[in-house]
Amino acid sequence: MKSASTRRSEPLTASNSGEGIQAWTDLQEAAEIVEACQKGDPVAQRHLYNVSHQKVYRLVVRMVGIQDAADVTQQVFLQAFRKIGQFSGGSQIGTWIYRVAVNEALQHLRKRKRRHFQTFEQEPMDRSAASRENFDDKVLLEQALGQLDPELRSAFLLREVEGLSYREIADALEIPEGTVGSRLNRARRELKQYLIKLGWEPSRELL
Amino acid sequence: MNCSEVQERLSAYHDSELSPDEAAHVSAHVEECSSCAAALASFERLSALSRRLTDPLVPGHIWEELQPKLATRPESRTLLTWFLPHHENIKYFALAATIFIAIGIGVVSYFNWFSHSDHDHHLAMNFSRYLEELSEQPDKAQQILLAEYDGRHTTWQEATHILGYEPIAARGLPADYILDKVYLLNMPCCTCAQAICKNREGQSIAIFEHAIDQPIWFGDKPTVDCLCHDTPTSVTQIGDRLAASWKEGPRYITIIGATDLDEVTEFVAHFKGNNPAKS
Repeated sequence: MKSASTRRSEPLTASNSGEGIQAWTDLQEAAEIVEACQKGDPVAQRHLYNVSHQKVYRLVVRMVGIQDAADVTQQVFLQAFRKIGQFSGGSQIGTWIYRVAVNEALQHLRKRKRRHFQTFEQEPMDRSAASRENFDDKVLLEQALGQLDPELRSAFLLREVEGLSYREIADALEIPEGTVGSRLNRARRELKQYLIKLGWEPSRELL
Repeated sequence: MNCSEVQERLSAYHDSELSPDEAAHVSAHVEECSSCAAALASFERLSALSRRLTDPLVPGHIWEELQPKLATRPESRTLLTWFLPHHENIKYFALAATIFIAIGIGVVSYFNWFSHSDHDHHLAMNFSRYLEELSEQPDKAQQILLAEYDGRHTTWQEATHILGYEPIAARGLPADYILDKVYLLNMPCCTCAQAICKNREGQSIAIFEHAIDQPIWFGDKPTVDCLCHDTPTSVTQIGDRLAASWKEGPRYITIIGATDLDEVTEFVAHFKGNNPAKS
């Protein structure tokens, strides 16, 4: 049976790229960089881009697909630098950039849906046992994420990949903190169903 | 707590977002309820799977395409036109140029960003002329920079004062490289300090220290990315010499006129040692 001692308490980050993450978490530096960006300082803009673009890009890739990810990422930073004067410091700059990224990604998906009814998710793969051996389960997760409702997907990614707290997710998604848990409940249950349909064997993940 | 109440809190419990009291209630329930325990186990498996996701490689062209759009935005012009004459908001980058009789080490300081598109255009045009003349007529190449940007002789001390930081090359050059001259260039939107140096063979290398990478200097010339002294470095062929650019501390360094990659590596290693933040 489940014991509370095995619950996860540390933030999750899929792959921390040392220098960028270190700079990102240096709040004093972040405050100075934000202030300089608000004055239009191109050096500060480049610095903020350097420490955040990898995070933004990996979120955007999983929100809109690899084909459009570069364009949307560029739009995220264009909007971020244009609107950074509106950043009041009420939240962390990283959370605020995630908010811009999610909004731009959702807006892009809405436009794309209006243009043509086509989503970026890949075709379901061959689910035979022989074929399954050739695929890593993380590929299945990428596929399942593509089938998940975008708003649920953003909540899941901000928690599981970006390692945000519920408070930070609430700030990024502009939703009450109390609804973050229920949104993650739905995201996880639906993802599990999609994964099982794709041939996922959950028992393999706890090894 | 019943199953419904536990299921409602399952993600928050899994993510350690519940209060200690609530977490204890959920934990007690899960110990006794196989259905809720199974649901929680599936969340854990999803988290374990998510941790295995790898980051996609970010295309390098995003910033290059973004930069000119940032520079031309109308609100930026208004803000900076108002801001710059009254504050010490000087934007720095370094520009150094090498001619064949000398090694140039330059530091460029941005005074004004609002006309960045014009700046890019003029800089690219003048730099192209500089590179064209460099191999055959290095003196003329240098004169182009000096004439275009109202160059004048200066010292590291003055350059440091104007730029607000000590250029990394002012702290010393690689062994057998001798500082010859330092210039200040008044560009349309920035001030550049340029040092001229020589090595023991009389060959020359140009070094630029700048706050933002400037691939525009080399136009569409093929560039190769490689590791020099374990540092990611972009190398471009300029005639029979090499130009190389890498990030050092908070700024970028570009050298022009290196004979081969060994010489590039020598400069990379030397400046890394000169930078306390990196050493």
